[in-house]
This record gives sequence, structure tokens and C-alpha cells, in this order.
Amino acid sequence: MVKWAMGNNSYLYFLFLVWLSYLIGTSVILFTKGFLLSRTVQRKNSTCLSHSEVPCTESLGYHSNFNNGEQCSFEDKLRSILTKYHSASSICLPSRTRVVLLIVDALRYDFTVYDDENTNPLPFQNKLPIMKNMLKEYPNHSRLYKFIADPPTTTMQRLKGLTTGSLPTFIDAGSNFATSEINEDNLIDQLLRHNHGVVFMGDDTWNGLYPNRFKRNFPYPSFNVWDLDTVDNGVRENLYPELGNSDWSLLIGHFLGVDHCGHRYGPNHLEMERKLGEMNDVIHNVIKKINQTENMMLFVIGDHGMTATGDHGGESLDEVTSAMFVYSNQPLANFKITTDSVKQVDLVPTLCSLLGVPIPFQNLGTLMLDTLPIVTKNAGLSNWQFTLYSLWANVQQVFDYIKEYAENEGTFDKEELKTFQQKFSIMNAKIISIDTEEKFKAFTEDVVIFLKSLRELCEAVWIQFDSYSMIRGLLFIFLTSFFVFVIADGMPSDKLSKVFSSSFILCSYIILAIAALASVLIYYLEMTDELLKTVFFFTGFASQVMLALLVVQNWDVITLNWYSRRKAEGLSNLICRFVLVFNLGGLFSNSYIIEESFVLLFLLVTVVLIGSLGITSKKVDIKKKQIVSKFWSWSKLKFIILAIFVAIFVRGSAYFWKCRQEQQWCFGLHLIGSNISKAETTKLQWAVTVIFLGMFVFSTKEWLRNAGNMNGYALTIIVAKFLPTTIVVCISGYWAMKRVSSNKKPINSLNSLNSLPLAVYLLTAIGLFVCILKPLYAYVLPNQSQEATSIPSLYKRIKNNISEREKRNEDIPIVYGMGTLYSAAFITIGVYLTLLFALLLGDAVAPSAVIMFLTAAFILIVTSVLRIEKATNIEQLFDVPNISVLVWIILSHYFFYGSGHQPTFQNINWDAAFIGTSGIFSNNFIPATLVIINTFCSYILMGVLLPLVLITPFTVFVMIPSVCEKKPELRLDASRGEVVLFERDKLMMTSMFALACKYITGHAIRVFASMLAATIHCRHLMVWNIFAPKLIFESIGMFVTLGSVTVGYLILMRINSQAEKMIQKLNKMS
Amino acid sequence: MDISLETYKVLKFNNLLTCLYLPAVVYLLNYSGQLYNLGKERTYVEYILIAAEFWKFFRFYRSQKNLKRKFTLGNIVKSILTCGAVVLIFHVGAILFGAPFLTEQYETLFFAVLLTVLTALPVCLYLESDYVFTLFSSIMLYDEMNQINPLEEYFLWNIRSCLFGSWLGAVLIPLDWNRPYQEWPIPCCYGAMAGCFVGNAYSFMQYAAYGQNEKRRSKCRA
Repeated sequence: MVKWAMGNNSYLYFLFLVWLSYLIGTSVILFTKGFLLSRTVQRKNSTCLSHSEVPCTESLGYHSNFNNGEQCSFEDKLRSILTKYHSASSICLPSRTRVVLLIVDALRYDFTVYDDENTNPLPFQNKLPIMKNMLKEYPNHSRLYKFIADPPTTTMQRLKGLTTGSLPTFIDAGSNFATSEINEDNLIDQLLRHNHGVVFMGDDTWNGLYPNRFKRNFPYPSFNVWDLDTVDNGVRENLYPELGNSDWSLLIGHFLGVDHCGHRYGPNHLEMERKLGEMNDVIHNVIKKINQTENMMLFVIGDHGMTATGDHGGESLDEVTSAMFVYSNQPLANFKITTDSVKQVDLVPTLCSLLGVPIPFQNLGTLMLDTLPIVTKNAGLSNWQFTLYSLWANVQQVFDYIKEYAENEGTFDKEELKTFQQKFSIMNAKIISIDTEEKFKAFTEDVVIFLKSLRELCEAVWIQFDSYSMIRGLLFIFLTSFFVFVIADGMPSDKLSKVFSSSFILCSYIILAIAALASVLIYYLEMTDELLKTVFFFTGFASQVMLALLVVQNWDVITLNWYSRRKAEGLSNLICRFVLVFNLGGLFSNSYIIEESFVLLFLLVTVVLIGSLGITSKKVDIKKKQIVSKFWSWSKLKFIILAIFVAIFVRGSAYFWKCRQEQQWCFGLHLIGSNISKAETTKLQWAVTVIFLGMFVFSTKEWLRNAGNMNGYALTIIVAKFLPTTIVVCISGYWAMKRVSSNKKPINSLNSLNSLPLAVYLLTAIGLFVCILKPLYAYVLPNQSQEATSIPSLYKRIKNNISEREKRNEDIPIVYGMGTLYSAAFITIGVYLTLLFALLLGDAVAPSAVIMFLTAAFILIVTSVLRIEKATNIEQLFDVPNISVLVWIILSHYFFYGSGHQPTFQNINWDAAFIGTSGIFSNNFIPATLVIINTFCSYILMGVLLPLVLITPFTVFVMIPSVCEKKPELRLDASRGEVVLFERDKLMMTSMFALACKYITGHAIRVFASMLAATIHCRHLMVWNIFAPKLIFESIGMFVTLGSVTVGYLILMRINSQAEKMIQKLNKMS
Repeated sequence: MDISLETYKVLKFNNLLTCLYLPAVVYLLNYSGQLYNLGKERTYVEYILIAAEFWKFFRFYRSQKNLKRKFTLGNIVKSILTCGAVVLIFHVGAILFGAPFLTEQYETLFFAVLLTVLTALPVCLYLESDYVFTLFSSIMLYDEMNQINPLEEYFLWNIRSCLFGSWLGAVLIPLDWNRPYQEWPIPCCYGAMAGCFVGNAYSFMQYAAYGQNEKRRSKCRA
């Protein structure tokens, strides 16, 4: 009867945890939907009449021929068009030339500059002499510019910018690998609409953005960053034959080799020299071909640059500055107006006026006047008139766009818009009076400034936050964590279990369902337009009401409980509150986020040392000599030393920190220096890592053996005996083979290399599966007469004394490993997880996973001893103090940094996606999972092992019996270890539930703080650099935490039910 | 060890002195333009503070007629060794808390010495060197306060506020203001001094209140 109630209750707790996860998850989604929302895409397209469709009649006063338009000559028509500037954007000039657009991914500007005086060039310097030669020999035919990209500098964002001319939106940065079709107005579609053929070859990102647009299409896979040659060879193969065809107007070739070389080796590597040399040859050959045809232009551009380590994604100068090289076989106009650096979006209007198509509606770029070839079929008009016409078309398009956008969204400042309107009118009046080149030049300067200010206007007001959604998200997450914390912390466990065995959970779920139904109804009555948000809002609101009711109902119990506990709180709790405040407050300061690794180290060490100093309680009656001798002989001194060891471990993991872009002075493993090529570790590092892993596996196994969990021949035990060692062997073999293969060039060996990590995944999965299926690491000795004194851990054996009656029975079965029944399974799971993390982190950072596990273990022991010290009866040990939860939370945050991560997109370790996979995926699920496991390994480990925080004091009773020497009141229970937990499993599940709630709310309050920080700083200079990525990382970490805590809870439930079955079986036997 | 009213007066005065000379030292540093060189270059602050401690102790010692402490060579050596050990502990502790490991050794050492002078040295002088570790290990204990005598309580509070001050001082370091006072160990050193100031001011008020009480009580008795 009692057992039944227990089982029922633990499922109810689980349901509550799911509900809590749902609430927190939806609040985060509500907030991010409002916060990361940005530019609204306008669905309008630009259109224009081509010159042949224009009738050449009306308003041509000076014209002699008044017959209908069909009969006037091309020259006449051109002349008539060019006088009508006000219709510049609606009538297109004829195409001037065909264009070859070669995109060299990650072509940084300094790769293209040739320095004659540099006698000893680095691998990336002076490798493109063709550009220098062309600039020198044909200064009228070639140009070289700095090509400034708008951050984020990821390839897909850049391609969007290069074809639509619009500014990037933030949310796109996250969806880089889920390429989605572009449906706003763009260059490619404009070309198609005007019957120009487009041929494409190279990076298959284009194919995702523009499916079925190209006349001929040669895509190659782009995701495999280790593959330097496939794409480039493919492009070269198709490029030269294609140049001979004449059915296209735009040919796009996208080379990826340089970018991949940067990702794999960094710019300072011999491979870079080879790749740039190849590019040089390609450009050389293309120019040769172009010279043989008429009217063709070559644009060689980089979509972004790269940092000193070869990565990109942020907005540092190195990443943003790429190069643009232009060559034309016709002479180029030279107005000397374009400066030596141009914006990337400027390419779109330029290509449009070259090819004679309207500029895409959402373009914000400015025509690059000096890259337009001089018009030969000029009908007696001078060249500047053509240029002016195109430029004015550009101005009209941008201004129309801004007007349209302002009308639809109402975002821009009315006054500002008015001044722009005035400026536009003035220029519109002025343009007719231009008749000389001098006047034209003066006018263009005004125009360029005008366009620039329009773009800046957009940049400033672009991000339109949905404050309503944001506020709902903020409010919900705050209220949820507040109420749940009050419930979990304030209610004593007997009261808590009483509340949950009532119909509370059932009622809540029914009300949630009603709320969801109501919102669906409202959606169908068309009172709202977004179903998901409405559902979130309604269910969230209903949940808050339910939680508030629960709190109000039990308010008297909660206050009483808090009041009585308040008296027992000491100085260390005060410090903990300080630590929490600093931890949360740091999220509001950009410099604290940048240096958060240090801040968390500081706080973690503080909490650990304070916790261990708090142990030395009771015996400070000052009586001179006695105390002194006592101090030195204190068994508690051990724990101070232990705490110092923990601190040393934690401080030592600083070696694995990575640096952010902003940390200029950075030190550590990944030095930002031009002399280090990455992805290669020394032999010493490899050896140290392997030794670390070996020792780790050995020590955990030794622990389990000492606890008596390694006896017998059950499946679980055999697996736990041999699997970790096998995994370590596989991992180290994989690293060794990778080292060998990375020295040679061919990538083909990669496939054979994958079998080892695949084996690791498989073995880990088997290990985890077996551990969950049969989680009991216990061995029942069949017959007492065979009492095996030879088994070394015999003295650890714990008699299974469920009741006094059995104690007197002679035939009681002996069970090994009963005292550590719960912890053994969790430790084994922790070992498997740690080994998996080690594989994914790579041989350079893998020791940090081991350090993480060991630190967690030490902290568990220290805090348990602290709790045993304070406890006066065994029930109190079930109550996990907030300081232990806080340490566990900080631990998960700190080891995010400790395992070599930073909350920035540049620092995401994409290499993890290639371990055991070939790099080509049908969907994004597998690589995304691998990268998330790599990035959030600390969150996963701490979440799954959370039950250990509750269990460890009882484990300590068995493993370190000396701690309860001074605790006679505990000794009786203590000798039975974790059996105590089993006997009071109802209490255990309740405390576990409270612990899980506290842990989750601790994380949630941090997410709340980073949300609030992002809201407060939403117009801050660094919001997209620091606060928004921090928020995103915190949110993903939150989701990972929710998942892993739930999994940990389920595992505990599983162990408990299995243990019960075993005990029942034993009872039947005896 | 019972403390007479006379001793309280001396202690009270010593606290007042500390509260005066600590700001004076900072003012002097500012006056000589060395304010932001503390711990970076030689500023002789540590010697001034050591001298001040000895001076205060001398005042205290003179007032105590029946002090049983003996200044044997062994005791002195032990005290010096204890102070050295404390310096080492603070040095290692600072590194554990995130101070640079191999670089800026002098700065870290200065910080350790300053903290030792402010916390451990007075304990070695007034009480015995053995008390140093006892007090350090009980800084987190609050409940047992009523068991110890006022002198020990004073030192305990002094150590606490000193350590807390330097802990709090570290808050300034990560900020990106690019000010000279943000460099390690300057804010921590000034934080420690400020903490010491607060601790002494607190004790001064405590002693003052105690003295008043005693006076009133003796009057009542009379």
C-alpha cells in the first residue's frame, strides 16, 4: 500500500518536472522570438521596362520624328531615355557586358596585396601576383578594393547580402547550415526575369538558397571542412569549358579551398600557399579566356576574411575585410569617386546596371562607379550620362524601399524621414541641370553621401524588438522560477509529498489542456494570428495561476519552515548569497561576460574554500595548547586539503580555456598567434591525455571495487568491468591514427579512420543501455556457507537488513554492493559520459572532461562531509542545503569554460561534428547533436549526475566510515549506507524532486538574468557581439539542463524500482 | 585571559590609530604619486604598516603589567615561520583564485605580504603564533562567537573584514574601464586595507560601547 503510493508519487513528481521544463522552455522561446526578431522582409520586387519596350514618342519635344515608337532608332531611343531621370528605376539600360563572378571563400584583403619588398613572405603573403601584374599593366582595365562585409561573417549571410543587397539579420546566423531558399527580391531572380542565363558551380550553399534557378548547375558539398580540394577541382573542371559558351550572362564560381584551409590549418600553413597558388592560376587562365571574347568582365571577390586562426563569423577587422578584384577587357570609367574600400552590398547594384536588370527592391548598396566599363555604343552621349542614369536608378530604388518600409512597419523617425524626403527632392530638381562632367562629379558626391546616410538610418533602427513577447517571456520565467523555488525550498518534504499525492498535478494538467484548447479556438476564430505564441501564453498564464495558488495555500507552512531554518544559517550562507548576486550581476556587464571564465573560477574557488572552512565547526573553545594540537590532528584538516586539491584542479583547468576575440591579452592553449597552425597536437599532449583517461578509468573502477560493486558475473558488472577500458583504447587509437593521417595530405583515409569513433559511440550506447536496463551493481551471495573470505571487499559487505526479523534470521542472504546501490550506477553512467565527452573534445582538451568529473566527485565528498557534520539525525541528510545546489550549478557553468568553450559563435567547436562521421549529412540532426554534446558537456554531466548530490552522504558513510565517529546518533543508520535511502525511498524521491526543482530554478534564474541584460542593453553597442550570443548559449544550456535533469531523475526511479524487485526476490528466497 | 578596563582603553586607542594611519598611508601614496604603483613598484608601504603594528603592540605591552607572555627565541622564530607560512598560503590562494600563475610574481607576493601584515602579524604579536591557524580556520564560524574573549573576537573580525575586503576588491579587475587602479593587485590591496579599516572601526565602536557599559555597571555597583 505504502509502496504503491510511493510509485505513484514519483511519477507525479516526474510530471511536475515535465511541466516545469515546458514552462521554462516556452518562456525562453517567447522571449527569443521577440528579441531575435529583426528585419521584416518586404515582398515587393523591382520591375523595369527594357529599352526595347519603351515607346519613343511622347515628350520628346526636340525630336523630329513624331511617328510611333517602333520606328525610332536605338540611338534616338537611348537619347530619349537618358533625359528622363525621374523614370530611371523603371526603365533599364541595355546590358553592357557579361560577368564572371569568382568567389574565393575567406579571401582576406592582405592575401591579395603584393609586397615587392617582402623577401621572406608568410604562406599567405604574395601568393596572388596576377592581381599586381594586371593592376600594373592594365591600370585602366583592373581595380582592387577592400571589400567590407557586414557581420555576421558566415558564408550564407554573406551570400544573401551579395545577391539581395540587404543587411543581414541576426537570427540567420544560427541557421547557417539549414540553408533555406531566399524569397526576397534578388539579383538571380531579376536576371531570370529578364531572360539572362545564370550558370553556377561550387559551394552547394547556393543551391539551397537558389534551387532550380540556374541554367547549368554544378554544386559540390561544402560541409566537410577538412576537404580542401573537391569543390575547387570541380569548379575548375567546369569553369573553362563554360567560359566558351555564350548562353549565359552571369557565371558564378565559388571556391571553398581557402576557407577550408583556414578552418583546418589556419592561414599560416603551407597548404594555404598551395591553395592561393591554385587561385592565382585560375584567375590567370580566366583572364586569358576573357581577353579572347568581347564584352566580358571578371569579378574576384571574397565573401569574408578570416581571423589569425582561420575562423570567421564575428565582426573583427580581419573577418570583415575581404578583397574585390575587377578586370574588364573594355576600359573602365575612371571618375576617381569610389574610395579604396567598398561595402559588400555595393556589388548588387553594380552587377545589375552592368547586366541591365533592375536593382533588387531591398538593396541598400551604392553603385561602384569606377568599375563600370565605358559605354561604346553611346549614341553621341558622353559616358557620365549613362553612369548618372544608373546611379539615379539606384537612388530611386533605395529611397522607394525606405519609404515602403516606413509605410508598412512605421519604424523610422518621422522627422528624419522628412529631411531625407527634402534632400531627395532637391537632388531630383538638381539632376536635370547637370550638363558637364564636373557638375556630375559634384553631384555624385552628394548622392553617395545621401545613400550612405540612408543605409546608416537602416542600420540604426533595423532591429525591431517585439517588446510584448519579450515581456511575457521575462515575466513567465521569473514567476515560474520564483514559485517553484518557493515550493521546493520552503515546503518541508512531508508536506510536499502530501500536496503531490493530492489531485494537484492532475488538475493542473487538465487546466493546461483547457488553456491550450481555448487558444486553438481563439486561433480558429481568427482573433490571433500566431497559434504557437497564443498557446504558450495561455498555458503559461494558467500555470502561473496554479503555482501561485499552491504557494498561497501553503504560505503558512513555508514561512514557518523558513523562519526556523533562518536561525540555523551561518556566515557561509551570507557569502553564498553574495556569490549568487555576483554570478547573476555579472551577466549585466559586457566585460564580466567577456571575462566570465575568470569570474566563475573566482566564485567556484570561493564557494569550495568557504564550504570546507565551514566544516571545522564545534571545537573552538579557546584553551590554548589543547586546541592547537587539536587543529593539527583534526580529521577535518583532511578536508581542507581536499578542498585545496579541488581548487588546484579547477585552477589547472584554466589551461584549457579558449579565448574570445575581445580578450586581447589572452593566454592558454589556443594562442592567437600567427605562428601556430591549429588542429595539431604534440605527442606529449596525446600521451598526457591518454594517461589521464587511463588513470581515470582505473580509479573509478577501483572505487567501485572497494565499494563491493564489482563482484559476480552479472551482465552489468561485466560490462562495467571491461567496457570503459575498451573505450579508452579505441579513443586513443583514433587520436593516434588521426595524428598520423593528418600529416599526409589525402583525406581518403578519413573514412577508414571513422570506424574507431563509431565503435566508441556504439560501446557507450551499449554501456548506457545496459546500465539503465539493469542498474543494480549488487551481487547476491547464493549461500552463506560459501562465505568467500578471499573476495577482497568482503569487509565492505552490507547486510541486507530490511527489518529486525530478518536480522535474527540465520539464513539472511549476503549482498555485496548494497551500501552503494544507487551511486554505483550513477558513477558508471558518469564514466561513460565522460569518455564520450573526451572523444568529442579532442585530444588537446580531453583531460578537462576528466578534471570535470574528478572535481565534481571531490566537491560531492566535501559537501557531504559538511552535511554529515551539521546533521543531527538521518532525516536531515535528505535535505540538500542550497549551498550544495549552488556549487553544483556554478560547476556546470564553470566547466563550460573549463572544457574550452566560449559563448560566441566563432568559438563553437565544429570539429566535433566530424568525429566518426564523414562530414556529409542528409540532415542536420547528427552534427548538431555532436556539437551540442561537445559544447554543453558540463551541463549534461551535472544534470544527469544531480541525484548524486542527494546520495553521496550515504555513500560517504560506507566509503569513509571515519566521518561519523563523532556522531553516535547517526552511526546505526550510517553503517547501512545507501540502504537507508532505499528504506525511505518516498522521502528520497521527494527530496530528489525538491533538489531537481532547485537546480533547475537556479539555472533558470540565470537565463532570466541574461534575458533581462539583453533587454536592458538592446541598443548597446555590443548587444549582438556579447549579450545576444550569451543569451543564446544560456538558453541552449537551459534546454540541455532540463533534459538531462529529467533523465537523471528517471534513472533514479529506475534504480529504485529495480532494487525493490530484487529485495522482494530476496525476501522470497529467505 | 581577562582584560581590564585599562587594556580596553589601550586597545580602543590602537583601533583609532589604525583608522587614522591607514587613510594617512593612502593619502601619502596619493601625495607622492604612487597611488597606482602599490604592489607594482617599491612603495615601502609594507614596512610602514609593520612598523605601525609594532608600535601599537609596544603601547599595548607597556600597559600590561601582568602579561605572562615570554619572548623567548623559540617563540620569535616560530612566529616568523608562521608569518612566512601565511605568506605562502596567501600567495597560493591568490593564484587559486585566478591570479597569474607564472607572470607577475612580485605583485602576487606583495599582496600576500600585505595581507599577512594586516591579519597574521598582529595575532602573532598579541596572542601566540599558534592562534593564527586556529583563527584562520574558524573565520566561517559564527555560532561559537560567544565562547571566545573580546581580543580574539577582534582579531577574528579583523581577519574576516580584511579578507572580505580584498575579495570584494577583485570585482573591479575584469571591468573594461582601462583605469590604472584595475590592475592586479591594486584593487585587492586597497580592498584589504579598507576591510582592515572597517574592522578596526567596528572594534573601536564595540570597545567604546563595552567601556560605557562597564563604567555604568561599576557606577551601579558603587
